[in-house]
Amino acid sequence: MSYLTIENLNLELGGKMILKDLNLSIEKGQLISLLGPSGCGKSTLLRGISGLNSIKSGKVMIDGRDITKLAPKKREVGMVFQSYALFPNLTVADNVAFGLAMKRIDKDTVSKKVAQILELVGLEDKAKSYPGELSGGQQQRVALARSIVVEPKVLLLDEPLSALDAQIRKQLRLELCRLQKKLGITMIFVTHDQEEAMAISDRIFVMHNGQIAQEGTPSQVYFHPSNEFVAGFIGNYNKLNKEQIERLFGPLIEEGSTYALRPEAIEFTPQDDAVSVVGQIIERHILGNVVRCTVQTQYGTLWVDRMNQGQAVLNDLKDVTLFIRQEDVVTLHQ
Amino acid sequence: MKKMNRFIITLFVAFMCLPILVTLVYSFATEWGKSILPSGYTLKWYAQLYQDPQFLAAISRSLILTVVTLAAVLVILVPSIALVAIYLPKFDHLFKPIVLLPYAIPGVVLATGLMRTYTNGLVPLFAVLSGGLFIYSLPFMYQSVRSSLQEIDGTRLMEAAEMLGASKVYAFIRILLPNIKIGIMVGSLLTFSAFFGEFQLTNMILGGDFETIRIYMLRVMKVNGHLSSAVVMTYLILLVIISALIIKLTNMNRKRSSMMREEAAFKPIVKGSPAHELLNH
Amino acid sequence: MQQHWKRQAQACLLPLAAVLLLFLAVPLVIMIRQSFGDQNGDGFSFANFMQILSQPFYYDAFRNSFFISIYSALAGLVLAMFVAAALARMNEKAQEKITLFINMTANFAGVPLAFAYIILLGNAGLVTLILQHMGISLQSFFNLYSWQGLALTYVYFQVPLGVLFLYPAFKGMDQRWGEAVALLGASRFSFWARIGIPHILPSVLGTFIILFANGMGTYETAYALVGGTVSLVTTRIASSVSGDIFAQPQIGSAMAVLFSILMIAVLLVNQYLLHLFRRDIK
Repeated sequence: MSYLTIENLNLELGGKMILKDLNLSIEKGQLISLLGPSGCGKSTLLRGISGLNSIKSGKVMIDGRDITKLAPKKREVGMVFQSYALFPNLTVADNVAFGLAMKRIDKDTVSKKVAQILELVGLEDKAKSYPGELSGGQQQRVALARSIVVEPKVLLLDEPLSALDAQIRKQLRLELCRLQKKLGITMIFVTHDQEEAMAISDRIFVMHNGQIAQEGTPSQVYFHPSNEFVAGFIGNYNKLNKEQIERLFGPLIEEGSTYALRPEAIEFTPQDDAVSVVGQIIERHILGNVVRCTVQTQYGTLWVDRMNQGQAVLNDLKDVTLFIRQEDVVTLHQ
Repeated sequence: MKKMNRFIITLFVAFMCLPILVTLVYSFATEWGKSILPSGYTLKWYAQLYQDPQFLAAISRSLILTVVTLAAVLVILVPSIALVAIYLPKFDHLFKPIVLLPYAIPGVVLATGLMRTYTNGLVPLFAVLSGGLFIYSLPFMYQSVRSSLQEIDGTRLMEAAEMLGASKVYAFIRILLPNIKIGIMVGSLLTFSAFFGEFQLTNMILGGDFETIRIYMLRVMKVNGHLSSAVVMTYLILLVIISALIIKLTNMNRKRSSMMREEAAFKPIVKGSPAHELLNH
Repeated sequence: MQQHWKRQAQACLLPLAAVLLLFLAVPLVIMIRQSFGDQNGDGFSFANFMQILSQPFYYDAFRNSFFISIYSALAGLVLAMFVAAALARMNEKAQEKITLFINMTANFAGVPLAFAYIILLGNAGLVTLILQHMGISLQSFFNLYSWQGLALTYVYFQVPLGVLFLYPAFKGMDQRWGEAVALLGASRFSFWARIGIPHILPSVLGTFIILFANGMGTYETAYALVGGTVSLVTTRIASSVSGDIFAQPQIGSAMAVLFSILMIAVLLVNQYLLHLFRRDIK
């Protein structure tokens, strides 16, 4: 029995079905990402779990308890909002203490717990500040502390890092990850950033049109996208059709009509069991540590990614031979 | 070009100030009308005014009417606006045309309707008047409270409080109200100055039976202009104090909200609320 | 659970609904009903409306209000455009100060305004006296206690109201002007033809209509300045329904209905024009 299960969830907003017959199960203590483009229903799913949006049909269970019909405050679920939603009229300490006070915990315990959690997120010296006096990153930590301190069974995070600068975002997601492992909290993290999802998650649920398009560990999802949508959303796969693949490798055993090939799986140097294809580099883009070459071949244009080590060869290279292994080709389903 | 702009603005300010200035001079003049400058200056009009029990009675009546109506507005209207904005967005489109209400249904029309309905004595006329003023406070209050709610993202705050275990009522009192307090106060002060200076509905519905400050002003004007000027100046000073309060509160609001979200464009509450202009003519 | 809460929330709106019903909806309905009735509010006919449209005593009120509002709105609009354009080019601080100043002067309309204008332009007014010293008789061409005086007095509150409505558009236009010059090297003429006029025209039209509506609805200033000597819609309605000897409440109700229909029509035209122009711009 999983820790959190969602069965046949349907959710309607303003007369539109946002989530359709969605099923999902999550193990305790894991960090899960809901990944998808905007409008795929990932935030709505979060709001459905939290009870902020009511569910049309289906079932939500946490730790063996059916919470489908409970009010948000009775679900023992925490939430961190994209805009943090800190209470501007309360100090950092009072913000963090808010949830504990609602549980009628005695004052001494509350202040002890608040001090502990603020130390954990590195804000012990800001306890008496107001949210308006903090930077975006600090506000985010307060929001996190505020929802962790009440020890929710599941913590929901709705694109919590998207309002921050790239650098702070990367730093905070590492901290978030550490905190999650240290405290063993079950977290569901919503994001549209596939790199972010890959970096922090134990498991990723890719969402599309109100349904789960694929679920798996980051490397499962990355190396074996199961359908066209996931392949399109994760990384910049080369998409090939059946005819192109058969011309490369001969008749295939596996059924399918579309195939994906990771751009970094294609090599410029001879490999075992690889077929070779001649082509010309027509474009180069430097994406930081990777150089992406667009190569024109008789089978169509292919993207090839190479590590960027400032190789002069890469810059001058025009006519190339590509080496492709059949095992790197992933069959996509509709 | 710059000089030209400044000249136009100066001219405009002079145009707006001139009537106020002549009223001020008139209130200190012993006599003014036979020569270009007043024949002398005196404080006797003010002395006479502040000793007039009818003046004090008129001020008290205006205050009672204002305070009673404002209390009703705060208790009934403000929570309703917040409730609709946060939980019942379906009703919001019903609220929106309210901003144009003073134009679509001019005061004289509403007063006519109220009189035709309630002169039979079924409801005390004071309550009828108060109800009519309530209706005309809708635009200010709606705009002030709405923009305040938007600035703090009230919906999100309520959700956050609920997720932390607070009841809706507790979250409203402990979180929402304190954060829109300034918007409510600005709206209240605007409403206050509008109610305090109200003439049309009062004159039509109660007339001489309930002499408020503006009706007193008009009656005195017909007898002694100097005295009336003194009333006007006293009244204006009172309202300048209220306006100063509004400015101070608006600035406080700005400081806090700009700290909260630097990138969010600030929308001042007093600025661009032309509805406030409407009640007084 | 959610449905239950929604119902509770709706129940919380009941007091407000009651106030709206008691002091807005019901009075308007009763007024409309009586506009079709006789002296006692009974019967059903268009007689009251026919009387208003056929007797100068009533339709003059509409005509006077109409012209005074048109004149004061036009004068107010033109002056407000100069002020708004100048204001839009001032620095932020000055802009704020002026808008606050405008908000404060709003309290001066009505009785105080009428009285101040009497001190300035009345029979023994300051301006009248100054002109007299210069050998000019103001009374020979201007009478404060007539529609002229009313129109002039209205201008005092039309200008600031116009500025409040117009100034955002001018401010926006100034930014576009800067961008257009910087990006395209547009000439002053082509800027005005392509950007400037299309940008401010809806605001100018909308402001004119608001000022007109504002003039039509004015009661206190007119009542204080001329009493009943100049017949206006607002003062005529008020005297018809208030307990005067000549009170004819059913006619007053009919006038109020006509008046409201007129105002709503004007506002609808405004909305329509705005919609039309906005689409053009986008």
